[in-house]
Amino acid sequence: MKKSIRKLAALILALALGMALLTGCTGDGKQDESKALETTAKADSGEKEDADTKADEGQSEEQPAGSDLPEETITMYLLGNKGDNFDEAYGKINEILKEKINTTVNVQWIGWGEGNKYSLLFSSGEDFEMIFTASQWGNYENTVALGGFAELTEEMLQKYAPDVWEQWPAEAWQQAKINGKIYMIPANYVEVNQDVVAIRGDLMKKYGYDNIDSYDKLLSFYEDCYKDGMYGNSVGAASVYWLMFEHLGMYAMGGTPCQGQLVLYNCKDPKDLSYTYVLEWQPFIDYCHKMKELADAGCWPSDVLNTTSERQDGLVSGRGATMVWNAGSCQIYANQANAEHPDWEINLYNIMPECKYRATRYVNGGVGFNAASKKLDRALMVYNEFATNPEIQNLAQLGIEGVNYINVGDGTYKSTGNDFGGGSFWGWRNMNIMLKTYYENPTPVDLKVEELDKFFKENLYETHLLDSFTFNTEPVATQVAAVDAVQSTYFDPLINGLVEDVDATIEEFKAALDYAGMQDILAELQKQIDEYKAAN
Amino acid sequence: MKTKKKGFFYHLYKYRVFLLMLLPGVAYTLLFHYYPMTGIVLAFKKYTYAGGIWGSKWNGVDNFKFFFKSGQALRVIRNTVLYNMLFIVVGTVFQIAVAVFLTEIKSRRFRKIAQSCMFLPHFISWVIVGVMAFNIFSSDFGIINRLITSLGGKKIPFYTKPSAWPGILLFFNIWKGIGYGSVMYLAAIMGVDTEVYESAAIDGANVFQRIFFVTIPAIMPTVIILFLLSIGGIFRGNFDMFYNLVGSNGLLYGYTDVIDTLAFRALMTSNDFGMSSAIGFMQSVMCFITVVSANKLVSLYDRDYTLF
Amino acid sequence: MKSSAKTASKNKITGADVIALNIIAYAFCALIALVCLIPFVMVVSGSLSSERAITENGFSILPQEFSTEAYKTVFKDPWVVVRAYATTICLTIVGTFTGLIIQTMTAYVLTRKTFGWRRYFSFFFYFTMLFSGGLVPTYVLYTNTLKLTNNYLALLLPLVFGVYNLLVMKSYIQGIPDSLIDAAKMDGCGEFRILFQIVMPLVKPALATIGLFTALAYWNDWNSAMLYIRDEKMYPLQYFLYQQVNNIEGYKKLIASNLVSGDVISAVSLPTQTLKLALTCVVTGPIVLAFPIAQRYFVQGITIGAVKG
Repeated sequence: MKKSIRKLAALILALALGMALLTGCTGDGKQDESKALETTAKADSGEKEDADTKADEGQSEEQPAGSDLPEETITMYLLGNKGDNFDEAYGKINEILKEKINTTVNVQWIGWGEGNKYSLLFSSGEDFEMIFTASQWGNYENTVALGGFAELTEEMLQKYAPDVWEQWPAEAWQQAKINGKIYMIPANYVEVNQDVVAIRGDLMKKYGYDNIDSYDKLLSFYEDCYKDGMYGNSVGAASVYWLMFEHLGMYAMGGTPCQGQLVLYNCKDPKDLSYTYVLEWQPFIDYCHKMKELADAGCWPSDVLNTTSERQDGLVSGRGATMVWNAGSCQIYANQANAEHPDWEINLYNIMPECKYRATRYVNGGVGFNAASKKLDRALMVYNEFATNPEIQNLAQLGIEGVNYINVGDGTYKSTGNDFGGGSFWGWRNMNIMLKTYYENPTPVDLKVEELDKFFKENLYETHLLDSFTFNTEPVATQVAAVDAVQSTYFDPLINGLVEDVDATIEEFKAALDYAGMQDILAELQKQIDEYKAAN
Repeated sequence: MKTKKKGFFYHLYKYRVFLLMLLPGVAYTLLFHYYPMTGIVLAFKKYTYAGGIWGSKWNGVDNFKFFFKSGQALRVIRNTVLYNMLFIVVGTVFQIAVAVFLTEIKSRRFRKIAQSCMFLPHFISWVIVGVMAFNIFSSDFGIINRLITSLGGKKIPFYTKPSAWPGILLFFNIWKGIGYGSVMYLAAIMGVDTEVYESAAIDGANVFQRIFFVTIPAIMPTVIILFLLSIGGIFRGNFDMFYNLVGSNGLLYGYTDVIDTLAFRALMTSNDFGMSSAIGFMQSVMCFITVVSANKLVSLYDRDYTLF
Repeated sequence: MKSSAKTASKNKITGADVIALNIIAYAFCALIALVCLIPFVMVVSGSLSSERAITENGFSILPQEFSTEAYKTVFKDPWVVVRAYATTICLTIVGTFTGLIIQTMTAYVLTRKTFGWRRYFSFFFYFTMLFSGGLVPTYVLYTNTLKLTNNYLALLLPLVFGVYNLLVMKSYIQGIPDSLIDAAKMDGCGEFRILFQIVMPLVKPALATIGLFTALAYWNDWNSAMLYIRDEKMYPLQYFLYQQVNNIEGYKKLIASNLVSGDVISAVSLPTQTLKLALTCVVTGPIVLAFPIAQRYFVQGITIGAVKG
């Protein structure tokens, strides 16, 4: 066994060496290939053509400089774990980087769910240059507040990451700003992560629904399901809560306590810069009453707050009639359940067709640069390559062509099933050059997903000034911590309809939050919105 | 003054062998415990990466405020202390009972097997225990409720009924610690000179008298030390247990929220080092006061039984 | 030596009190053992069930839809697991022996009545149980001051000297009559000789207990590896397994909260519940087999007279 492993290692090494020689000799050929890829990307988005041409110029300018640079190693931290063929792919990336900018990238990992390691790296003065970051869930704001990320000035970006600076939309930089300064390079990538509902077709027929295209229809469908002793939604109403305010055009305010679930803003009207505090908002109160009715009727188990099931479990096992999640996740489980039970005829439904949708923010993924690092210039060059060199982008995103994925042409790819994903490879995504998933034998669900995706992208909200706003909790840190501590005591039971007396609980909740300092937070929020308005 | 100094060096010389024996432990403790203890100052500072532990700005008692501002401080302190007292008292009784009974059982095989079985829960992580508890108590497919409905009874909604939880938590706490805890008492019983038992038997005491008047007093030093050690943690809630069994079920918090779970919820998103140090420091001080008082009380009884 | 010295009242074997006690003792111990055993049987069965069956029906005494999928995931690369086992076993052995010696030696000194400073030192040690500087300074000490990243010492040191164990040990040593030690002193024995030749043999059950606890602490530790070990080749068993489960779980959580899209979702279909259960079995297995070694010392007593003579 051990021998065979050794043999394998030797083989891989030999292969890698061979590859190195090959790429050394046929560097020009590779260049052509990447150019070809770029052209397909251009064809996809005519608008970006200008930017790309400029990018090419930028690259050709930089290349002679590359060979003069001293040798450097850049350490980059990613979240997650190594997938198959990861080292091979990075071997290839390093060959390219070595040739172009005389740099080697060394990747280190922070496992998913090992969040506290993130701040320890900065505390201990560990030597690294780049780290994945994301607004809110990926430590962006708190690392900036603690002085962990280097400020990236326009001059630096223009000088060391010229292609990125050219190609990235102004909005991306706008979103990355904290107090007017940029601390991360966001990925040039947005998607519409709109929640949809996967619903059992057979049950819809049974209860006489041809389509479920509104929030109210979904709720009445839940009630019908219960009459048959079936859960409408086996993980409770938490997932429906977001749909509730989104179908009214409201969205969570970035950076506010409790993942923004308490403070909303109105996406429908770009001029409306006011916030809505849900506890004083009639639709929220109505929602809680409605959920109590549904919970009492038995549309979900009384112990949903402790359930270990995931969103799909009810649907897949046949215990629940629906699942609410983004289209991509619903697609996977709907296909899986349909394959096992063709008679269920699950498909996806958009319950808010009359609405518009909101794209994710650019800062939902990006790369931050360690303020203590002395190799910032080189790290920026590395980022520039990852984000704008299609060859590296594909290697870092999908792995090795022919092993992990197959390029089907037309800017699409097919996975081979050899999993390369496992880490946060999202920090340098670039929509202009990324390959897209190709569906071989689309099921009705796949077709629906494509249709929905297209529909969402065609019906986006106008940009709202508050889309790029992130509340800075620093001045009211004490109050925010206290509010976070109080929140789940009342909030989760309320939105799942599990309290005895809805109105009394809302009053109690409001009083508890006020004691914890909610009014200070709201006052601070108003102040920050005013300042933000004045600055933009 | 002079005599005192002389006394110190005199003792230093006199105790040289003892001090040599203590050296590894003391060196270790100084380096790995006292040196990092400077981190306590973080409880009074606004931490930044650039400033580190010493360079960050002082901010007085700001880091402590959130705990009291949550309005739940008294409730969680009360819960923490009451749960710990319950766990200490009932846990100790069960562990001693197991240790005593195991030594009285003659079948060696039975003793070994029983003891091995009791150790198994120690290896089941709280995450899995949490899932198991859900399997037992959930309203739909929980074992208990399935049993009740099959007998024609009405389901008990454990997960919306806070008053059921002290019992449930106590059960799992005892269950998980019984093997581990009883070993300590077993070792203490084994360390007692067997001649003492023989003389008791000759005196005509029955077995129960022997247990209460010979065995229990003989293991008293261990009982007291373990009791004092537990008291030293009386303001610390077992986060893993409470978090995995109760989760984020706000309906149960009245009976189940402890200092550690509250702090976790408050600091989960902000991940504020200052505030978490502040909570830890506050717990340390409260534990310190409690344990020093308890130690004093014990020393009135017998100085040899104390921790320090 | 008698097989069970504590059941010494042979002359009263037929007494009503002995029968009553035996009934209570057997019933009590059997009941508790059963309550402890059944959940573990469920863990084992669960690890041999299909992920689907576990999420749908919960745990059961017998495996449902028998499947070894979880073990296949754990042993995807068997040599890595073997190496992780080897790391953990070596670490546990070295750590337990070193720890036992230092802890016993320190505990012995703290019990000596001729050592006038013993209370100060007891307090010096105990204080660290109450107050600690927290994670940040400890992490900085290990990684920055001592440069122990990717060093086995970073796995060994955090657990080698436990104050809890020290104080429990102290209470056991206190059980030894002073007269015995004084007599040895009269005979001209040095402190080290008294410790190793008189005290240690007398506290064998205690050594077994503290040794067991120290060994368990090493065996179960994944935290140090998580913080200080970056090289996968050096992962101990627990962390190797822990990070497998944690990676999948953490990733699932992110997807569940819609923070990242589902386009890289392949990890989602991996088993997590059964994997966690299989992990418990893989970790516990060797300990259950090794437990009887320590157990020997809990089932037979010590006769001080024998040593004295």
